[in-house]
Amino acid sequence: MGYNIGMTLYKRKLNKIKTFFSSPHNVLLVLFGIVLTFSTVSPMVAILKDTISIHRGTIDSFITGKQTGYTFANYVDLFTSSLARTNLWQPLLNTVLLSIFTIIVSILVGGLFAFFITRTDLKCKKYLSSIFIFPYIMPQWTMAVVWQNVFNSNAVTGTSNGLLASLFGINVPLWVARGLFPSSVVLGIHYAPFAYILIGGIFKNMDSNLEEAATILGISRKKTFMRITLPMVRPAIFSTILLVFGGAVGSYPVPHYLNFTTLSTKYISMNAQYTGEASILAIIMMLFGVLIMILNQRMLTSRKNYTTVTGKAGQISLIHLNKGVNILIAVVLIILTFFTSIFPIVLFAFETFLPNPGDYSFLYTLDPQHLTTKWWLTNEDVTENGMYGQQGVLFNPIIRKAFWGTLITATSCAIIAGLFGTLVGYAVAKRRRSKLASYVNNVAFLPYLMPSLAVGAAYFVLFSKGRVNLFNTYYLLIIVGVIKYIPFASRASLNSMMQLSGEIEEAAIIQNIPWWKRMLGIVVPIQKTSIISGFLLPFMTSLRELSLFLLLCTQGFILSTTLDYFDEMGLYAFSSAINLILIVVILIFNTLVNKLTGASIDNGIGGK
Amino acid sequence: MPNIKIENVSKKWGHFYGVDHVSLDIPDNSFVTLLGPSGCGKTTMLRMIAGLETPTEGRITIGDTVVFDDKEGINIPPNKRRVGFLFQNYALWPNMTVYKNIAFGLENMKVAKEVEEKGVKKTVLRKYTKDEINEIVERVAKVVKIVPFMKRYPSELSGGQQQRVAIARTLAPSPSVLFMDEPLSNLDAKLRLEMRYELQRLHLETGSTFVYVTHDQMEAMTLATKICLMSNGTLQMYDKPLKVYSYPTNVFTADFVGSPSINFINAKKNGENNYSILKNRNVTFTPNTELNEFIKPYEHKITEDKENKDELFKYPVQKVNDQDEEKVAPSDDNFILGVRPEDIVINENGAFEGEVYASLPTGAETTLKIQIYDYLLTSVVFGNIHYKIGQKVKFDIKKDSVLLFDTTNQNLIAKGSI
Repeated sequence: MGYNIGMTLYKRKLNKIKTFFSSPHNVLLVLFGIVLTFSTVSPMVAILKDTISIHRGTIDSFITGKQTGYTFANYVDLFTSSLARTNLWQPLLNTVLLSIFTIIVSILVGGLFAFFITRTDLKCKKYLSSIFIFPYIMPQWTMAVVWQNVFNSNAVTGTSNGLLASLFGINVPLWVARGLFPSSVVLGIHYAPFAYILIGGIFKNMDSNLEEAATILGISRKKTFMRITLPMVRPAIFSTILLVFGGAVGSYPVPHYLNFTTLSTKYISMNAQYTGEASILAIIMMLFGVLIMILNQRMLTSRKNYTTVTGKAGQISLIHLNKGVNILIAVVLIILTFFTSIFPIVLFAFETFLPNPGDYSFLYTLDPQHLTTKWWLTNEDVTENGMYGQQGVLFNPIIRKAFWGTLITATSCAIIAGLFGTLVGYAVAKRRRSKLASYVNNVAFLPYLMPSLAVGAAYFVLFSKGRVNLFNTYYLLIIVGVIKYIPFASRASLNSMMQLSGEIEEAAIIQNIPWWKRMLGIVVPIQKTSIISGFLLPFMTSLRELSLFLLLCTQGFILSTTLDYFDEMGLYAFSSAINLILIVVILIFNTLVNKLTGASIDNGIGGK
Repeated sequence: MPNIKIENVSKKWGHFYGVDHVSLDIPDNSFVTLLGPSGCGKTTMLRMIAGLETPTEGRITIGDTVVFDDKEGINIPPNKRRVGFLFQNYALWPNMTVYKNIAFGLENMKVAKEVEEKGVKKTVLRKYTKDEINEIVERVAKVVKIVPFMKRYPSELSGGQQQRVAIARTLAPSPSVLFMDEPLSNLDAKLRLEMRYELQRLHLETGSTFVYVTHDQMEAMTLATKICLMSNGTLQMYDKPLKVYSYPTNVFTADFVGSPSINFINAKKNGENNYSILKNRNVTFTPNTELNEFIKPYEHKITEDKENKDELFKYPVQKVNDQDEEKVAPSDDNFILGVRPEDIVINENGAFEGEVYASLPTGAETTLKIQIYDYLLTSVVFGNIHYKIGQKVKFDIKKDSVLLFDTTNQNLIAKGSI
């Protein structure tokens, strides 16, 4: 009897397990649960271990007098030594300041822009909306480099003269040329499209009945805006803060170019001699990521209170701007966006034809003699003309290799991250209320909130010193890129899959249509736009990624890490050319995808 | 053609029972409706039979195949159960044309075909050919009259047309069992009525077993060969529609089936077969023994750990003033009488007298609310007769039509006359 009961129980359990795994989405959840847990936790463990390990030939080895083993010397030294202020507290403070100011700039710029585009009858909306996204599509450092090229001056920064200094003799003060101010403006503008898309999305979907109800009650427009409209966009502002904060903490190139010491730049400069201490800095950056995640969780629960999308097509009444003001604002915005989008491209292109860096004589002489094509075309006599043994950009083997390397990395990252992310989104949406699903969703999203440089650092520790040495291979770049970019795809896919009724797939299950056919024949075609953007975003982002890949490969491996190589040689025209190539490639792909599929980053907000 | 056997099936989420130990026998070629208020577990029941939901316990057999048994560890996935399912929201694939919607499932199906190879006949499994698919699609399209729309996309069709496409898609693989989850609920009233006829015809033409979920008792009454009435996850009654109407097993069933609703009257026993009803009016109840052999007591074992406890049904007693609700404690002295509206007959020499409180003529019949003391009774009078509000009327209660219910378990005790 007991045997029978035991047998029944066993069969029941077995049947439950069998049933569970007979659904592909459960298999996916378990699989991704395991893989993503491993891929997120193991680098963290590795870097934690690194902080207490003794590294031969670095400071911990010097203090302890040992070559191997474990010690807390790194912590003690970093927090208490006389260098604590320069190595830890000042960079930490700078990082926090940079993040805060970046957030302020991006929300002000993006929010104001969103308001003009979605709530007023401004002219040229369509153009402005797509041009405003540019700074996000372009490499982070683009604007930083442009800033240098415009505001640097021999008198203040001790470098070659920038445009302002050489053309007009204007020397801006140091705080404008370098440090916190330019860094946060540049990063803020880079991330402003986030604020624009998130806040604009709410403005656009908000039922204007809410505001009209206030208007009818005789409440003034200003008060309505402050008390009704603004609170409605609060969740979008929170989301922007979460997304921008991590980005600002983990950004390396912007503070690097603009000479601002943050945790990320400090990490790079300390990594060789103070390896263990640098790892502690990376951990501090990761703690920021965890903090953001906790905040995010809090927000998610309270965010439910704001339902802006009622499903009924709300009519938005646009605020009428009087004609003069309208044109004035449009012109001002067009000029401003010119400097963040077209001007950098023109400037980079122009710089590649300057005979010497900072030699802008062509601009006031208009004499073609003051331009050169040697940076592009030289393929012999490479030791002459200040070429430092390098062939021109078009013939340069290093650039060619880096170009293909970038394309391979970006393509692979896009395909794998897009695929995985889509599947994660699909599986999570299928089991939307289960604990397993929300765990997988969170663990897949976590790398996104982690500062890029810290993620790179963690993988550097994990894969360059252990048994598996993947340093300087495309495999490593692709693995890290995939993990970092899965959130792009999983979010896009989750949002769209949530709108897909379960019955749609069940109707096919009943007819014995296999899973892959259901996906390819039904689910994917219905959601193709958002799935494509799940592939597009990782692709665009990894094309121009630097902070994440910086530690994982040598210079010349991909385009973004090649910039510094030529900068150090003084071949500034080369780095301008590389920037130009990157931007042009990104724009070509962006336009191509946009035209072919209709998917674009500012989908549905701007002008349409 | 298979019959479906459901034995002691439950579905719970935590301690919440969506379906609570239900057993059903669905005979071959029948049209069974699962009826009940929303949230009673009827859709869950249907999805469990189809395999879209996994029961917590029990056993389900379709034809000769056990498709689910928790003790044996059997759970055949929905795609292997060879059933058809019609969804409430049609679930048409918006990215495919009507033709493709119907053909998509067929392209994937394997059929046993006899072939002759070197003079030897044998059966092989092979996919449908393009021509065969064409033929099937055309045939089902004709059945539901959607031939002109084959090249359109679902979004280019009206609700009724979409519904037909969904039916065609479900019919295409010729399932021997067809499940339908409130398929008509999204249609407007007129179209719904039309589709009812078509479903009935379809049932005859296909000869399949239909299991149909609805909360509309009219739909259930008119279409079904058998009605399965559920409430709070439990089976209330499972019988032919007219049986359910005339001999409802309990107060809930009596109230749920029938439009306008049945009249309930509280009755206090004050002697052998004597009851006091309304305002201390004494009546004698004579059970009709001949009829009463139909009545089987309704039994349901109470499930101990059920969080959504089974409670006695709060039966409505209509009064002029809604506020003074009558509270009658369930006891052996208290009973409930149920009288169908059509059994209250206006008669000049009637035993009861009241005045017209409201009158709703529809042409073929008139629904009256008659006030008697401070109670209201509903009556349906056939024919085009006009009543003035406030008019005095006399009425009788038809012989052998009164249902007598217990108050402790609310089960039907007898049917008889007063």
